[in-house]
Amino acid sequence: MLSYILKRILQAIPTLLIVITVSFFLMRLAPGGPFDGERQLPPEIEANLKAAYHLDQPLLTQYGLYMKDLVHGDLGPSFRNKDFSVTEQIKQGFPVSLTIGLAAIVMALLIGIPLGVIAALRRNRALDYLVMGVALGGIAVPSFVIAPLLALVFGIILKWLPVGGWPASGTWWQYFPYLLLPVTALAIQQIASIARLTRASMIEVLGQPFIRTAQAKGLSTPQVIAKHALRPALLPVLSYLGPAIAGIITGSVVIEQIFTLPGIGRFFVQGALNRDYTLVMGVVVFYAVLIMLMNLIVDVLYCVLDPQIRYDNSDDQ
Amino acid sequence: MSFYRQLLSGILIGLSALLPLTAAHGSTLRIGNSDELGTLDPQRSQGVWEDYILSELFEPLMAYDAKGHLISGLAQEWHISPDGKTYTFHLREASWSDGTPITAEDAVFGLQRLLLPATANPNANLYYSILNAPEVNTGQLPPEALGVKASDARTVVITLSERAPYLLRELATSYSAPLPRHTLKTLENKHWVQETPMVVSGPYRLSHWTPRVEVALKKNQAFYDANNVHIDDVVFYPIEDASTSFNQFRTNGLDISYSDLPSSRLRAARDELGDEVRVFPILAAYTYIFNQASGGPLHDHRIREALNLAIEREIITERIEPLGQRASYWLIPKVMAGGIEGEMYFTHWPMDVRLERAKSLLKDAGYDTQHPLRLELSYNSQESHRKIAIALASMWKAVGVNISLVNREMGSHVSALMTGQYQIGRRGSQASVDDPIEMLSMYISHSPDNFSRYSNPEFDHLIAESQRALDPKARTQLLTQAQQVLLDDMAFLPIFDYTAAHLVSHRVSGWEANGLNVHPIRFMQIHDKA
Repeated sequence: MLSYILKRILQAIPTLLIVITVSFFLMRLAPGGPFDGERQLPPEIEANLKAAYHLDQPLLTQYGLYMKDLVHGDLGPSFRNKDFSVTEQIKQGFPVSLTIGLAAIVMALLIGIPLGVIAALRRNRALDYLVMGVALGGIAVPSFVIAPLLALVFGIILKWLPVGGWPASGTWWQYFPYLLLPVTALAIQQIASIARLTRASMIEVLGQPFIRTAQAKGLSTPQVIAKHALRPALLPVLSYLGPAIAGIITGSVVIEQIFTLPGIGRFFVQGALNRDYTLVMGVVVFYAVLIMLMNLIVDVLYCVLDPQIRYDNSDDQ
Repeated sequence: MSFYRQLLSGILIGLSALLPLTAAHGSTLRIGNSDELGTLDPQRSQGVWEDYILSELFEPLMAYDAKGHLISGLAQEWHISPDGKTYTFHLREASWSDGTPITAEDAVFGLQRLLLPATANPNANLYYSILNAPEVNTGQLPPEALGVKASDARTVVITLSERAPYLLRELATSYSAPLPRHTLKTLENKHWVQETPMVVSGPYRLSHWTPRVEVALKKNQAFYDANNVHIDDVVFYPIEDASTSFNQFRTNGLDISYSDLPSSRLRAARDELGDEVRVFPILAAYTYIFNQASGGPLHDHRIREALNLAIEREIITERIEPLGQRASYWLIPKVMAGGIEGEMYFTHWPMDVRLERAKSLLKDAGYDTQHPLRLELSYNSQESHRKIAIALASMWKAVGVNISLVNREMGSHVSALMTGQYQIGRRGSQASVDDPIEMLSMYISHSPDNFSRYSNPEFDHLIAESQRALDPKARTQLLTQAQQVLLDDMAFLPIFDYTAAHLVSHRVSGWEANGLNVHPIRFMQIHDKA
């Protein structure tokens, strides 16, 4: 197991390098620079600015300088938000995105799995069709449609919740009303996918002989599900979690914009539009590491859930 | 049983978290700003939205009242020499927020740093009339050579190399404001804003800045007019999405929203919010520029004239993007000070006559139905710009011109304009001072701002003469003539004079609509309904 983890980490390094390099050069390809505005800077001033940020050097030199700083953990200064470095901004934004992302995953699992189980148990009956129909709707309707709708209904019409924003400080429960709508909007698509996956997987597991045995032993249905069926049924859901997390991260970009949340997704969009090269690169590096880490954790958890799966090749000769 | 009790208390706690929504807001002014503050350094800021905050922190030599009229700031009185080249300012007794007196040296320091090449301020060239300013700004002379000196602790003398009729207005900007020399210590210091508490001179000081969440200001008791500042606390929320800002205002989450309302929401907003919706003309023009580089089709005057004739601007201002704008046949918005008159010759012609003339001009230029004129229209991606671009294209189709539309996001679009990779391109321009010179300067031959590559020596001459004019009336005459040259040359395509559409709650008084769009908070009050 340990050797497997080490191998995965080593494999991640070239992937990471490729991601960073491609992003670096792609960003520079976009026309326009960080200091272009509707007012043109006098050429000498612009030259000074560019020199200060090494933007006057050839691209390869800039790339080398960037990688050198990166190895030391320095993501550079932000061009647009000049009072905070990229590292500082990511440190500010990440807890917000993490809270929302985690909450969305937890909500998706807590709602999606039971829904899938119910649909499997009531297979091909009205309840099944209802749950799966609603689930299909959840996958089909994009988050940038759901989010404003939620804001409209719960914020403006019912006035139960704020339509956006984030408190600057406060105890944890004061964040709750500001979290509820964005987390729901993010989670809906995942709830739908998880419900469908759970249903399909649960139906397959329930058809297995060992389930028949358990029922024959006299266990009630809830006991059968909880003790014997759930663990194997959740394996596909677990392997879906990797892409789900990636989906939450990309979905959060839209959600954070609509609900004005100070998360990394929002930095990302604003940074790209402002040609804030260092900020965008910093977020790209961060996301890349995060996604690779999440995928690794998911694969390790797979082993925990299913003792049949082992990653060392000691048995194959 | 205990599990359910825990669950119940959890739900109740969750519900009680909703209470802050309904709490009264006392004397805190909540403002929705259209973007995040880039920096607290007034000389390194980039956008108009940042100025709403920075102008509250730093008091310049001159200031604005609620109506946008120039009043005295840190300069209590001033004298201008008869030749207009020496300005003497006498500073009032005032101190920084840490108690240190504000001296003339602070004013000198501020202007030196503004023109320092390392500061790279985009508006530095507006101060080039100050002696040696261009040389200091390009590093040819040290900052001490700048024609700004302190003749004693409270007297600042500014020497100009050429007359600058708008200098007083230029000294009302937050980037020209005196800076706390005792905090910065050196001109090159870029990290002084990170020291807390930040030393300021304005009616408000920084309470805290949570990035992308809020900027909170507190009344500065050391401000020279603190007794007349009524509002104690101000919070700015950076809300990029105009709809979100609108929604927060409607649900009483904001007292003022500076994000412009989309035109599609204007009628609904007026129905729901009544006169809390403030629509007013501002110092900005919605125009399209023509790439007049020789060799291109738009180098031909007849084409530019035909394109101008064929557009019925009123359709755009009344039906496509109705935001109370005034259709424009000129460059300088009518709300600008100075009363610059002038319009394109066909302004009052009926539309059918205009269309006939447009078609005949195109025919003279060699285009007809067999050989139609094909042009590319570029704009930056935004719903309102897209609607207007489509309207323009269809109006030109009626005279036989085929338009292909190109849209890019803002950065790429500006870059395309700068490098001449366009034929007809959208260019909005906003003046930062209440004077026509900024907008007119964009058409001076070879100016870096001249994306049109337009060049007319007569125009350049009139502008240069206006800089030398002693008498304001003579200057207005010259600027009017200069604008008319542009209009007669059909140098660009004017569409409308911009309006702003902001939301201001009934509980706020002292907020006034003005062309400069300045709204100093020290003149405002909050009234809570009994």
